[in-house]
Amino acid sequence: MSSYKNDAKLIAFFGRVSYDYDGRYLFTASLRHEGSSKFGADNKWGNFPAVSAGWRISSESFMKGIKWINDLKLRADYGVTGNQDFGSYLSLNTMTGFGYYSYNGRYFQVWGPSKNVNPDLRWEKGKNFNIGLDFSLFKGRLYGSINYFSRRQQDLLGNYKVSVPPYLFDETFVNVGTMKNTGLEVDLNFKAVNTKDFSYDISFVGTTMRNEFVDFSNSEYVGQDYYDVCGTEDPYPFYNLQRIQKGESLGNFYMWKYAGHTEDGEWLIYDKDGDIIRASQASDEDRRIVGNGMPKFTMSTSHNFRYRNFDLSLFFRGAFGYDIFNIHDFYYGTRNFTGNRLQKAYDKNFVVSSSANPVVCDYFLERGDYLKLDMVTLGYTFRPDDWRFLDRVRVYGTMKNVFTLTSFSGVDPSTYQVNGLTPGGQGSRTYFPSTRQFIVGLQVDF
Amino acid sequence: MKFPYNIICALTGIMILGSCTNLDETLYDQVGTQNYYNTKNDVIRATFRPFEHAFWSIQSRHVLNELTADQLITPTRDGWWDDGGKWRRLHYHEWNVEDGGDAQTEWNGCFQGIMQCNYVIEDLEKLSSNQFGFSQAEFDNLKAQCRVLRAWFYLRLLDGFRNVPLAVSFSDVSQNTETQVEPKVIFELIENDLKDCIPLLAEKTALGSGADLQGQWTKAGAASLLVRLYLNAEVYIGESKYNECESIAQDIIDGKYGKYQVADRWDAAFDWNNDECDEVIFGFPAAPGYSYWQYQGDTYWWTAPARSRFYFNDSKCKAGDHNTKYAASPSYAPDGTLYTFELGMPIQNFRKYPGDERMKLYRNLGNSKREGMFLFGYLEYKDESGATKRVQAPEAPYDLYIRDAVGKFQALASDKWLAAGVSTLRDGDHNSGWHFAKYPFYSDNDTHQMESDYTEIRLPEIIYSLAECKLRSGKKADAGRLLNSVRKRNYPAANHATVLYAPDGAATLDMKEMLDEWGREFFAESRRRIDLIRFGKFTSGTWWDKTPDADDHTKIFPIMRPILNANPSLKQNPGYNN
Repeated sequence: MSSYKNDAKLIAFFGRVSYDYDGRYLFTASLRHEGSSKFGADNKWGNFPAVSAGWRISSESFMKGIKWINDLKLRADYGVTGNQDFGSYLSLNTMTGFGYYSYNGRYFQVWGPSKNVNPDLRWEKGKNFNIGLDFSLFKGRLYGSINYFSRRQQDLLGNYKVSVPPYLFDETFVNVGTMKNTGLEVDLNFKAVNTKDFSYDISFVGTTMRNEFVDFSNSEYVGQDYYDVCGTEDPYPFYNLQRIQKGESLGNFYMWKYAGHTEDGEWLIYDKDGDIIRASQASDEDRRIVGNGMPKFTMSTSHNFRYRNFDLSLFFRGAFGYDIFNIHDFYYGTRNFTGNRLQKAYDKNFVVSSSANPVVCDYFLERGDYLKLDMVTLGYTFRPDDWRFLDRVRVYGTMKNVFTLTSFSGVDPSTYQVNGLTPGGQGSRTYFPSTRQFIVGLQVDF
Repeated sequence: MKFPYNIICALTGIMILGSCTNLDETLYDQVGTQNYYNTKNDVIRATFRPFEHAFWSIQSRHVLNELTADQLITPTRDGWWDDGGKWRRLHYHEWNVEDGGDAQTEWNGCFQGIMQCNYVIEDLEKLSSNQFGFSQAEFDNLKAQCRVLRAWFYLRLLDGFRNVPLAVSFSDVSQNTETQVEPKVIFELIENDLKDCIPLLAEKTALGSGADLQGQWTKAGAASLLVRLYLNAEVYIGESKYNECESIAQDIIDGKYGKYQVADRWDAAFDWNNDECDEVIFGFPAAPGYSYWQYQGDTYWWTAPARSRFYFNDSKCKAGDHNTKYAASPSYAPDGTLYTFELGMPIQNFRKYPGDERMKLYRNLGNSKREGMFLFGYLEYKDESGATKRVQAPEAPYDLYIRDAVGKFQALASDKWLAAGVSTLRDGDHNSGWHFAKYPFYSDNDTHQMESDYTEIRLPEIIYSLAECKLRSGKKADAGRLLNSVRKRNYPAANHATVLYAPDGAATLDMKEMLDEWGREFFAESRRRIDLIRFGKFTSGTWWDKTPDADDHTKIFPIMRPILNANPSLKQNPGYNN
């Protein structure tokens, strides 16, 4: 049993000016002055300005003649946001309770410094820049936007490895590190057909993403340029699947490179000089970047049809250009595992000897690309004129998670998370199966 | 033009309001350092924080000092315990700078302890004793205990890494060094701190009075650390201090630092009431509701089959299931041939002297009593229906028949052997290697389950250290008598004439036998590595699945990459990658 109590206070002031000239030139500027109790005494307040500007090109006189453009707007914005999402008291010298020890035959809970104090703790800042084009064409039949974004997170808050001595703990919570995300977002909507009896609408959202962990150090804390993350568990623990490294993208799989098997089923890998050696002779230094788990492109698209009283909608989503470490193949897919084994242990993976533990190498790395029909709904609407209390009755059936097109040989690739610090990486074999759902519904409007 | 006016308005508002807001934090579940000390108990709670940490920190030391040596092994078992070769590399002395693991935990754990001690010592320097109702002597004792604990941590660093930085202050880092100092500087710091503190520490003045002093550094405890330091001085600083070791060990045995005596049974120092055992000089207090770091996976809880809960009947125990991390290195090849290694083969070494109490199969006798130290052969128990069952392997359901050999025996009949003439750490199953129970595994019905304290120093260590010094200076009979004074409890009186060393019995003592006897008496007590080093065997010796190292650099551990990265002033130990 444990208990805790703490508090935190957040105060913000906000000011904004907007300027709009003739609907053509738009300008907004704002300033947020925000204070959080969690930061060091001299760093509690942060200023977060934002500016945005827009130019409605379609309202210019030289555009008047172009009939197929209904609306066209170029816009750009820049803003700074702050993050203070962490525990209280990290900038204060405090004592806290630990375990028990006996003195003169009596047990006492012992108390000691609770952490390495960091009085300089300050706001983590995100600097976001967007430039985009909003448009509506052909009397609104095609509309959407294209957007380029660049987000730079700096003074990232996190636990940073420090030396003991002089510190009491080997981690200090500090502002250190810079990460950058850039990408292009496209949002398109198209009313393909629209007649009395039949209509077909398409919408599409796609995003490309590039990430770079720019730096781990700053002027005060200069240290190692990488962290190995995403550890495996029993019975094959102590491996890490990924490395977060300065100048590299998140999601890098950092492991041995597979080089085949010996005749007796032992693992072979390439060492750092490119020679083939047994994995049992390999060291951590032979690891390298063998793939990346962050999708380069993610998309979703929906298709809505209506024919008289029938309606049909399809929703697809997908992610492309990334790798997944097939964690279940790793744990269950060789004859070495003594519990439940996958069929693969006796076909594809049969070359692996039953006495050879699976090793973390790119043998288990596969393309994660998938396209999934996530939802289908078919409905029929009755609109009887002569029913007194009912306007409309719709019966419909929905199927979720209909099918997935992928070359990934493991479980549903969409169950691997592709956000956070270890995209595409999962060290635990725990699995919550993705379910296929069938829903039948009745919708009644009075 | 409204535009500038708006901005001025907004900014003015911010400034006015901003000046009257208070963002100081209110503490609830923590206490600000500046107003922490209010009562006597606050002082006690702060003083023993480094001690509580010290008890936790024994785990990495156990792994490093046993799995790199010749007596204990962690083989693979039906696919388990490979762990990416982590345990194998310890066994083969192939650990490298990227390994992290226990060598990293050992470095950080010891230095954290040292900095905690510095923190407390400096706090206590600022306080006055009468302010909290302490006598000056009590207060000086607390400060001295922290200095002795700091010396205990430094001794481990000297032993494991040899080249370490000096850190003697928390608040004034100018007294410390960022780079490593000569081992001699650390040696002298330990020596001086211990000598300075002994007069300030408590003394156990009567037999049977140890319980209230458990967990406290006493005169004898600090003197014992000097014995450890001097015994290994040649290894640590290249100067032999066997004379100094001999004289202080003799003084401890003569009772000059308090009253202690060897218990009449080998397991008394590990039993539930070992806080009252007169053999124990220093122990970390442990209890099921508090700390019990000696009953953990890395220490003495995972020294038994994964399903031995049925055998011990301790499935409700707080420490969870047992596991097979540690087993004794084998004496037999998988085909049943006795090995002829110079080192290792601990079970064969126990067999050398017949009638050893410790060689009995471990059993719970009820009423907080046990017999035997080892787990071997079939482990039989009665199930709920009263039927006799045998402990099985965790997945493949074969009855365990635990052998003094490593191989994939699985369900092989007990009188059969395998065809293979050799085996390695990668060839094990759940039968491979005798398991053991140093601290008792009492059943769920036993009122004293898990109550043992962790024995850090016991009188036989001092006696054995003295015997080794005597033997080194040619006084073989004195050495034999000293060892016999402890050993005789292990054998029936009828066997004494054959099993005791001359002149009390017919057994012969020499340096090889001395090392073997360290291995018997202190089997799995976190010290085998330094004993092998002191006897010149750690890097040059051969034991099961272990050939001599290419050179001597493995006598100390590398400084692991994350530690080097966090402090660029550190220099890697010789022979290891920078």
